[in-house]
Amino acid sequence: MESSLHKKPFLKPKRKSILKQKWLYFMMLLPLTSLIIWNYIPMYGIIISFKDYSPAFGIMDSPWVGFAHFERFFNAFYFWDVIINTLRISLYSLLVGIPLPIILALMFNELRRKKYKSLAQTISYIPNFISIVIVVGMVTFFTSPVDGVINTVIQYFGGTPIDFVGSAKLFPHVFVWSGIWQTVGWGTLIYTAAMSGIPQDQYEAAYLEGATRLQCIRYITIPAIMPTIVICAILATGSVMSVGFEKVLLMQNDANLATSEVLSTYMYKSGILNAEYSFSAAVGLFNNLINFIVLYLVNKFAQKFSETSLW
Amino acid sequence: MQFHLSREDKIFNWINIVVVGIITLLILYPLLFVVFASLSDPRQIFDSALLLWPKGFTLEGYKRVFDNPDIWMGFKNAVIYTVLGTAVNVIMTTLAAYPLSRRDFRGRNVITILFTFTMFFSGGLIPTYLVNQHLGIINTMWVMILPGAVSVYNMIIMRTYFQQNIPLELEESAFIDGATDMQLLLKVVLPLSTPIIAVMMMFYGVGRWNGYFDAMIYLSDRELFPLQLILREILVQNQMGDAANQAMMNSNQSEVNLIKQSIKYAVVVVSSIPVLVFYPIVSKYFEKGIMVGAIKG
Amino acid sequence: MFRAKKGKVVMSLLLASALLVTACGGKSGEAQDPKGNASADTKEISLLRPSWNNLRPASSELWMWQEYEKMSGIKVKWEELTDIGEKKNVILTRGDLPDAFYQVDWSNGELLKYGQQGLFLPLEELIKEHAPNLQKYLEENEDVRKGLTSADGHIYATPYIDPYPEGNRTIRLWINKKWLDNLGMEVPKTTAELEEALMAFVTKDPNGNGVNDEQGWYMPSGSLGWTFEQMMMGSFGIGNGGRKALGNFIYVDDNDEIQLTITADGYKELLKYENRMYKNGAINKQAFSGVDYDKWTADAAKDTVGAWNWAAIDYIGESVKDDFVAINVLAGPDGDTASLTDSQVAGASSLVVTKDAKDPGAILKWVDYFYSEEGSVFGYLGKEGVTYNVEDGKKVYIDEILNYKDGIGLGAFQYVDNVYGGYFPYIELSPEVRAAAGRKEAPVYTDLTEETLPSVMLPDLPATIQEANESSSIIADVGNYVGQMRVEFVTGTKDIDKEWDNYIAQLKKMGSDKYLEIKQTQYKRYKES
Repeated sequence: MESSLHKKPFLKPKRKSILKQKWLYFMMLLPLTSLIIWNYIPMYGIIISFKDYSPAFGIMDSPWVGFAHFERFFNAFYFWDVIINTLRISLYSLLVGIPLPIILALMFNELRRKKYKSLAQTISYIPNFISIVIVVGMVTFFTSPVDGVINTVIQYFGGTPIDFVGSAKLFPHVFVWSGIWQTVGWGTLIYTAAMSGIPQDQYEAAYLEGATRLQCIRYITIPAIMPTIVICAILATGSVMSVGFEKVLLMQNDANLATSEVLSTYMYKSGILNAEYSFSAAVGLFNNLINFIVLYLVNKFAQKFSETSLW
Repeated sequence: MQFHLSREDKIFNWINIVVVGIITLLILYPLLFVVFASLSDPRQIFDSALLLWPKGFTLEGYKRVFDNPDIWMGFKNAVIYTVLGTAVNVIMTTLAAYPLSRRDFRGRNVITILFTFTMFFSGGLIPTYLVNQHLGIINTMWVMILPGAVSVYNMIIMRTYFQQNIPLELEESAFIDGATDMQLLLKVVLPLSTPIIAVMMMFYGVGRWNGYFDAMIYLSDRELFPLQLILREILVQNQMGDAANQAMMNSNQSEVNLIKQSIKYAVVVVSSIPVLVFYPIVSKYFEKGIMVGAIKG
Repeated sequence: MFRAKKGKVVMSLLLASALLVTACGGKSGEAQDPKGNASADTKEISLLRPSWNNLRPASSELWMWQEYEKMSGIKVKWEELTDIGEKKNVILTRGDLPDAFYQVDWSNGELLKYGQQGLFLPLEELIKEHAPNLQKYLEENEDVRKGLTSADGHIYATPYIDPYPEGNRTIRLWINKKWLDNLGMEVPKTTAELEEALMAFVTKDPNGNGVNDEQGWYMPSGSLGWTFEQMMMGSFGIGNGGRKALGNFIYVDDNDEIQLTITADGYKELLKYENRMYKNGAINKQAFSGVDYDKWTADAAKDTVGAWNWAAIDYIGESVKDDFVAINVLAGPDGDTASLTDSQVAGASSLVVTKDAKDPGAILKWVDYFYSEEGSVFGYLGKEGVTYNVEDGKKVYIDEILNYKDGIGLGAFQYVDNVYGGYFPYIELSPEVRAAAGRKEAPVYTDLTEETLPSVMLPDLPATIQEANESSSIIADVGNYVGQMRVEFVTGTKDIDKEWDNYIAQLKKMGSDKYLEIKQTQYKRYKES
């Protein structure tokens, strides 16, 4: 966050001694302890990707198999299909899922009637609390080619009914947009909070200079929330290989399998269902390695071209 | 101060109001569907394309929900886990986010990477289970509260907010007055950060409220189950279940399913209510963040 | 379990560094939980099982188990878990195993692996010594013994046995008799007659409401492949071997050899049959997506369902279930018949004894009762005068059960355990006795006879660990591909004749030959065991 204020070093070098910052380290103590206990101590479990894990022997004593699980995965018949499907859905999600909450948050922010604004915001958050099972059930019902509301409308305007959930071609759209319904309102929260930190006098000054609302958005609001946008976008790219497992599994059927089989469901079917934990772990590790690399690169990119980055 | 709107701004306003209205309605209808369905005879929900009002009005679903002791118990547990867990989360996240927001904090990059690394690499379920077993917290409420104290994602969001919204002049003048970093955090930074704290409470609170996986793995006493686990039994089990479930399905499908059908929408409505109540309370703090002038270092 | 005090938690946090050393040990947690000292006269065993506590009282409070504790002199400490499928691996790791797993589903690959690695005990000797009823049943029923015996020759689990093919073991076709009567048609006996009947259903308004809302074969989406299609395999000459075999894409041919169903010529013909019916609307257009169980039962209640498949008729819901009659077999184009019936080893891992069992003999003694006739009755009906009464020589549940608000099955479930045939270690009662318990009569199926049953009904064939590993990755891919191609072939987006060679070639690429070879080896071993 090298915002204009932060660019000048305000603290004298001598304050940088560790002793002087003892309070800061003290603050970090508890979070770091928690991180060590629940994240770093269990991390030795990563090795089961390279072992043939059996609970009878435990993690340490199970036999090593090297990269066998990875080879099996890379040589799997559906390897490329699964990777492509995963990327298709997640990139689509990112493409739509990153800008829409920002736009909606900006629109909320421009509402001047408090009650209306609060009502609209509250309603937009609620879908986030609806169980995925129910969401998938509603998607199926609303999109039914026989008596669903969407197809009723399509037919009313003379179109032919479309089988949304039974089409491999449409699956990514249905998946992503039902996801948008569920999360777009919730996603505005961060931006709403960021906007509330913008001093009101900036707008007043702009108004006195004759700026329009759109200009205010463009020259005051967006720059002010830019760091948040960048950070959220970077973090989002770090899940490029992860697609919500439960929802895909619930929406999946033989008719859309050609595009709906993603890494997590594939892993579930060929690993967990057959109790091949090491194989699943290997696929998971591969998955996260890609995620991490992507995040790292995007962050590098951000360091270079914007003033905001993760580290 | 009162704005006098130009014609252009008026048009902009109206377009904005209308578009937000349309979006809100689009988001709203499926929610209403759930509410109507919860008040309908489960056999009649599918009768027409649009459910615009409860069909075959019945309170049976709600009656069953309120008669179900498990749901009340789950509700109580979920409130406890959510309140305590969120408190732990917000405190710990603040403690991590603030030092990392300080450009002069030595080691911040290393520590940030240390945190970020855990977003991607974890030892998996079994070693984590063993750690919790060593701590002796399995099948206690603590396993629902202590682990996962810091979400790295949230921590980074919060750090970004601190960097963005705490004027350096305030920090500087506080130092000149001889404040320690801790005093600075408590007296200057936090009062200026109510919006992000509110967001964190929402994020963590909802995460805790909706979470079921840890409960599923670590809890075996039914009296400790949070609401979502009970909900899952009603909604999900038998859909992705194991063979015993499958066999069970074969023969008693209609009986069990009938119960599930009549209860599932009602249970979703009931479980969302606390969040609905919670939001308006928290949302006030979004507005209150703007009081820069009022605070002196 | 380990219910820690607050202090302990804090202590543990402070001692976190010590953890680094211990947690890496992998195995852990010994002796944290003394399993209760068995007193002189009552033995105690610990069993872990899936929880049904959302539907009925906990096992420790269930009438049946309290009663059986008195009868057997053995106290059971139950640990009941939800979502066992996700948790069982963790449980094996946690250090303190229960004495036995009850009603937990292990694949035979897992049984063998964990058996050989010493987690599960081989039971054949213990059964001989402590479980006379089960031993007797195994001796009298070769196929059960073979089905339970792992590839290494050991038995690692006691079974759930259902000796009655007319019960839940057979998936049958239910056809709307009311509609047939309205149209003056007979119940179909052949696949051609079925096609004709279903065609009439969708074109001649048999429900008489003047609206063309009738469906032919109609079920929740995704069911077609493993219900209707598998049943029709019997008619197309590729259905011998039982339901488990068909589920694994294999059947037993006339030379008693294992063959793949999905590459057989009969399957091609079957796909064409389905394709024709789908095109004509005799199979519901949403057979592959878009209809869930709720929607289906709602439609069924409106009298729009012509035919569907399941074991029991209740599946379709109370209001219309009496409209349907069962068809167990249909003669195919070449006159073939075979019902879709499962092996009598309906569950092959109902009770598994672990290495931590202090007295394995006591566990087998405890479970053996349920392999006796008396035990079967006790598990399903309970005790005379307590949970059932005898009326006209028939055992009938007490009124509290019969009038239970959510149905008789759930009513009985409040008292006894083995109501739902779900992997309990025991021998199922006959459908007549079970129906009589609810003052009902079991349907009689005249078309389910020695002749129409498959000549062999295989259990899951015992596999070596290597075989299990090899076949599991093939089967996942093959399953996906066959599922996708079924949609394309049946809906007609791909032409069956034109694409068939291509389809076979793809399957071969995925390793279908290798898979067949594995299954053939397993079958040979099975027959010789």
